[in-house]
Amino acid sequence: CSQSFLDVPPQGQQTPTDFFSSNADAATSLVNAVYAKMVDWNFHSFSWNGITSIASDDADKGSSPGDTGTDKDQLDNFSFTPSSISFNEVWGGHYEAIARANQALDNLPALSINDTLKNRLIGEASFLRAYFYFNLVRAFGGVPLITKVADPTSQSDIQNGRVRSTAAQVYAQIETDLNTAIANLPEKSQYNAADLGRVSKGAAKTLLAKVSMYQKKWDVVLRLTDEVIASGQYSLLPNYGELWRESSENGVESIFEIQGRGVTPNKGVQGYFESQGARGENGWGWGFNTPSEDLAKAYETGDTRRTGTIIERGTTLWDGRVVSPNAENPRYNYKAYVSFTRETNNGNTWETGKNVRVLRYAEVLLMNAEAANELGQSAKALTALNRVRARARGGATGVLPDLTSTVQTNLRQAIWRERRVELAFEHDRYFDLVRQGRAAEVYRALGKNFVAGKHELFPIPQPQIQLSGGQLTQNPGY
Amino acid sequence: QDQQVTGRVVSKTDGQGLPGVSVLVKGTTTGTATDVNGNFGLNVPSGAVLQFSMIGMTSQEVPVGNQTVINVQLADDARALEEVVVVGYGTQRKIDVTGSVAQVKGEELARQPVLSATQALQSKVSGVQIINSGAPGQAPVVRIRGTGTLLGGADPLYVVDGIITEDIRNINTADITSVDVLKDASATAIYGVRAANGVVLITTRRGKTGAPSVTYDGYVGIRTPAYRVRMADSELFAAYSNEAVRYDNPTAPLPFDPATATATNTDWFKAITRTGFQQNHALSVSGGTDRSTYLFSAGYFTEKGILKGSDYNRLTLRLNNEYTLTPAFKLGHNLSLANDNSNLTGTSDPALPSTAAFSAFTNAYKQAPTVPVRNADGSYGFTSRNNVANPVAQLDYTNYRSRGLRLQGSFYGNLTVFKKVTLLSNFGIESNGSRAYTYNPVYQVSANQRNLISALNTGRSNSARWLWTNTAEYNSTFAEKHTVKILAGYVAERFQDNILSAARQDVPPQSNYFYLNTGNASTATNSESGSIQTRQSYIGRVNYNYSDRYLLTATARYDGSSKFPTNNRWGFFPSVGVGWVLSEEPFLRGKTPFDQLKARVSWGKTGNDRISPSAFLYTIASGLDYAFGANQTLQQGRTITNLIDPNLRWEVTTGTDIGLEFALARNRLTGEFTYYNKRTTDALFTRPIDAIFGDVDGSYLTNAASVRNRGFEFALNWRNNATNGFSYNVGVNATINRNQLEDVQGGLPINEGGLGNGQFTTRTAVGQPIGSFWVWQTDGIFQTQEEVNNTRAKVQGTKPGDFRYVDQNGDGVIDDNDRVFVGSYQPKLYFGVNGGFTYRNFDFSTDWYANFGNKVYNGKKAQRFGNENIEASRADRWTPANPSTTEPRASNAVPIASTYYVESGSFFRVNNVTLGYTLPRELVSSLKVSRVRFYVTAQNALTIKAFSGYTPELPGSNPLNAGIELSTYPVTSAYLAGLNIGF
Repeated sequence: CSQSFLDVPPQGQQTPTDFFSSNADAATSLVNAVYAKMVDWNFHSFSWNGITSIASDDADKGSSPGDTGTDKDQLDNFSFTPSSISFNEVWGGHYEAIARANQALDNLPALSINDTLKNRLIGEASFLRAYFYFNLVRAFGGVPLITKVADPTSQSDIQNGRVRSTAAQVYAQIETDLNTAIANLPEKSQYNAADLGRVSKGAAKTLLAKVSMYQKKWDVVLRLTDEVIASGQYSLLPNYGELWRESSENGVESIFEIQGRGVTPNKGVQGYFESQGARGENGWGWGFNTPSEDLAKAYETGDTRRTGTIIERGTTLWDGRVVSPNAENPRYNYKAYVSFTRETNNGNTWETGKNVRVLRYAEVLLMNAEAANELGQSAKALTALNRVRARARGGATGVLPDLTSTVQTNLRQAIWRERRVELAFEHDRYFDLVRQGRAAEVYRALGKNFVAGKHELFPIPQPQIQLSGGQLTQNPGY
Repeated sequence: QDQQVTGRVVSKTDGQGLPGVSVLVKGTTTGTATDVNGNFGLNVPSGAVLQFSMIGMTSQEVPVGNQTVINVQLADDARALEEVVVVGYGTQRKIDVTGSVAQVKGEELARQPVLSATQALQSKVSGVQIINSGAPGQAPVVRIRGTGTLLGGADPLYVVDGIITEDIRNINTADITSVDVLKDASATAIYGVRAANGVVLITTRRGKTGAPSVTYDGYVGIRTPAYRVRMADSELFAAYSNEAVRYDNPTAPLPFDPATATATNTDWFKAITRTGFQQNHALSVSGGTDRSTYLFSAGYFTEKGILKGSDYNRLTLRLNNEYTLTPAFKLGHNLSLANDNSNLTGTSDPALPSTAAFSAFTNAYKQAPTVPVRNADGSYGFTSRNNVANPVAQLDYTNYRSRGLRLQGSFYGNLTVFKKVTLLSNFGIESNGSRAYTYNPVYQVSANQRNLISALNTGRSNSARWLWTNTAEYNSTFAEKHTVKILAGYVAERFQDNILSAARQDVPPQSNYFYLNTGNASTATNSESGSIQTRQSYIGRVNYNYSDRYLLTATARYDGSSKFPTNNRWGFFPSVGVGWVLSEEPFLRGKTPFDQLKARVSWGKTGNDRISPSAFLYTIASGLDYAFGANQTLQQGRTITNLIDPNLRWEVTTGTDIGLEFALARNRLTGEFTYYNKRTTDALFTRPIDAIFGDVDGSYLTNAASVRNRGFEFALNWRNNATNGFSYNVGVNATINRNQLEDVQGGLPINEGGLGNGQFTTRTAVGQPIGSFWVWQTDGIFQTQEEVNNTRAKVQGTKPGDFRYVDQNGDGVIDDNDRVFVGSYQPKLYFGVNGGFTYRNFDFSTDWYANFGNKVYNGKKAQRFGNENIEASRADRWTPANPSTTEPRASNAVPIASTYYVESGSFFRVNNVTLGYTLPRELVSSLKVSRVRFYVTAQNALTIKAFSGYTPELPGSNPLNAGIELSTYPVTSAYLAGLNIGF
């Protein structure tokens, strides 16, 4: 019998060998695919908002009483269990992203492309992998550390994937990756216009500063944020409310954003706009992740950040849209809003042009302030802090006065409060409360069922423990 | 010159006159029928030969010569011995078959007003389960002897005149001579790696030597919903919804003002449905000479479905000719062309754009009766209190159309050499093109039902197949006792398909502009994919018959397929069957009541290769693009996202079959008992894998499961001979099947049956039938807050009036560990009853079908988000004043998957009742017409079911989530009148 008759190559799908050898853009597209994971539903959308915002004191579940968003009610009132779906989504989405980064980092060295590009791509993938692990370690503590493409037919790879590294080991890996990124990446201004949105040296330094802040390596935080400030790459956008509009995407304040494309073919952060849109009469979404009353009250009088962050029902938005007074919930997240009349869109509400801001310059200043204060340099801290407050005044006088207290504990509280109102709904609040060691205290004051020693970490997803045959260990208390 | 012949036809058995015997001058349409006493009279040309025939009796031919009186004795048909069935690559006498083969004649199928033959097969054959869909143009799901696979595709293989295919909707039922169902491995192993789900062989009609025969069969009629679910009216709905809100917040404003809510009372089901219409016309011309035979047929079928806008039509043409070049050498062809057109109802190609119109049924079920179809100003009604679309608007804004053109044919040559060897070469071709589009206009009904930018999605799918079969068959008898038949063959096949799809936005809303060019070029997207599959096979079969007493069949197929990696490419599929015809044993002959008694046993291996080509290769996923730059320009993203098993192989089914066939009472009672046991190993399974591997769907396809189906089949048929113009027949058949997933190597159970609201309902787990419902067990209702407080194991937020769920493991928490298996959609027993009689010129027939022991899930009732409509039966719900123990309180919470929504799937249905009247021959012969019959028929006129939903026939998209009623097009009833004319 003729063997060749049965030898049919795959139709319309490239094999890895052919792809790597014949596609000139293979290297870049491998890394682009890592970025692309960040727009997926299970990465940075509903579940991620659930654990970073709804579980925090900044947001409530929202929506209608009967619509739980599968488990967002449980996240809101701390009744979640390891089986709650959001954890498995976040876990799975991030490991998918890590796998793509590993594909890139495993294959890039062998590809014959020019070294400058290769080094930059290695830097980008390293940054992204570090960011993914940073999210995981903040949410779950130590997690399995996968730094190579894992082979499902390899017993040792299976085994390795079922053992949790310690949080310290994960942080060490993150730092290694970020140092690689810092060494290999260009500054934001050195990128071609067409590559705007790729991670830069400044982004890598900012993330390393943030990672160091979580480990209380204050000298590192201060050094890196000083470098970013001194780099001249970034500045504060004068109008806080405009930060969330299309016009400010990748703008002067932007350090790292997830890029959304709102024209055909759409590549936006899936469901990010729709799941947080106003619900009910004349609404545009499901109405989840709504600003809490506690957050609304946290703003000082005259703080432009309140109106920049919170949509109140019955008000008119910047583009003229009127939010019905009969909307289901009293408040919605303005930072997730996309204008259909004044911004690029094609009617697709699932994938919009909204860029999700991950790192921006105001946070560099706040980290700088926090580190300086922790290191006893209160004057330096106040300088950075007051720059952020100054912008928040929006040009008004007599509101948000410059802070002057140099008492370390007072200043610490002031910086923390400033972080909250400046960075609300930017996916940090829950982690900040835990990092600051006051989560139990804050939640208790709100009457939430937060259990100290347990809820500082989210549970390892039950399906993953099951898949590991029980080898993956659960966090304490679950 | 003509001469008058008279005579009498009597039964050889008892000498009684036989009425209604057809007396025909051979080669003509001239003829008559005997009267009540068996007498006949006829003018015949000289040299004529008379044919005497009657169902149940052996036909006879008598040359007239110069006789004027011809008396004839007809013997009881020893039908059971002479019946011939179609087996793979040939035919066999039924008595020689050592496996399980069932045959249904075409005329039995054509009696039912259905699109495809498999729909009419329901209730006819034991071991064959047919699950119908009500949607126009849809193929039913066919399961032969249970579901033997999880993901590999459980449909049987179809072979139409030797062409292997997957879909038989292109075949006009009127063109079918017989459908033969091969059920056990002894019968199917000759089809090797594709035979595990059973094989359905379809043989189309051919011309017969003689004068041209023209027939017309046609019917017209209506279709109506078989069942309506009684929904709440506005008053009940408003009261319920208000109550639900107040439980959550006693001071909340009432969502529905009781004073005004009842002003509108919309019957949404009525608003989206209509009386359907159906018609079918089939015309055929056939005939032949010694040198050639021909058959030409044309058919036209249309159905307007009960869902407004859903319709389907099909035109079929067929030309089956055979040319006898020399007595030993024949050439022939079977050609068929089918063109179909459908609106709002799907093509079979999942790659093409498809419709979401069927969800209108669910939306009609859920939409509030307080909402008008249209407001006074003409706009569509909606309520912002729920997320349900206005189903009338949904249908109005849904544009979906598909067309298909399919050519299928085979060309063959048949050469007999040395009288004992027959060489056959058959080249089959199939070309199938379909096209479909969806157009989504700009509209705004409500915030939840709107579309801001119009879009046209269009797709083309083309496939081509050739299949070349070459066989040689040797047939000989030695010493008058040893009959040997040996078949050897080689088969090669190539299949190629290609799917192209494209879309643009900003296309104008008139249907004459539904072309891509009218859209905005800058929004254009397109994609193309395809596959090529090749196969090579060697087949062999030996039949041995000793004295019609001992039978042996051995078959084997050596199959090679491009779908598998080189090291797993070739497979060997053997089978062996033995039979013992006890009734032919000299020591038993005449000493038992049996006219025929045969025992048979078979064993064999078959395979299932329904898996996408190249599934064993790592490939690069494309389209993982990401926008960079100020203009959000996409840059290509590609990487490996999907883990694969490099050693994938086909599924293997090993089966044993033990049967007993018998005939009693002068062959009037025939029957068959069969036990079967088949086990599928290496069943494809998406093995869940730790998320750390980063697989895109958290699992990879591998051969990891084992499934067993075992059961009993039994069939009994009684057919009496005509006396006094009356004859009747009754048949019953029944199947008991037990399905079980036996093993999954290292894998976890698969949860499926998601309702889109966070709840899933089925689990496929070891020890259970595939796709078993896995839910919480309700245990009454909490009556008081005190009772709630005193119960540890409860769902978060439980209030009085909510269900209590059984804490199966007693750990004080209601979680997945407390779910229980409560049955599956797979029936434990199904049976059919067929019967009919003819009395003089009247004929009557009926088919009944029943299905027992399976479960269905009321998905539309369980898929709530808040303020959807409820069924009228919810009037009896729990309230503080009405302490129900079965119906929970009003609530807007997402319903928890529980036994409350699991209902019995058992049903009994009168599939068909037909009453016909044939005009007396004397009357019609004067009109130069040989036969005129009028009939009325009712399809699905009566259904008795336990399920409270629309239909218990719920095939689902795959065996893992079958049996859930959600967005289901219900099975309908039809009432039709028809006409058969023969010239």
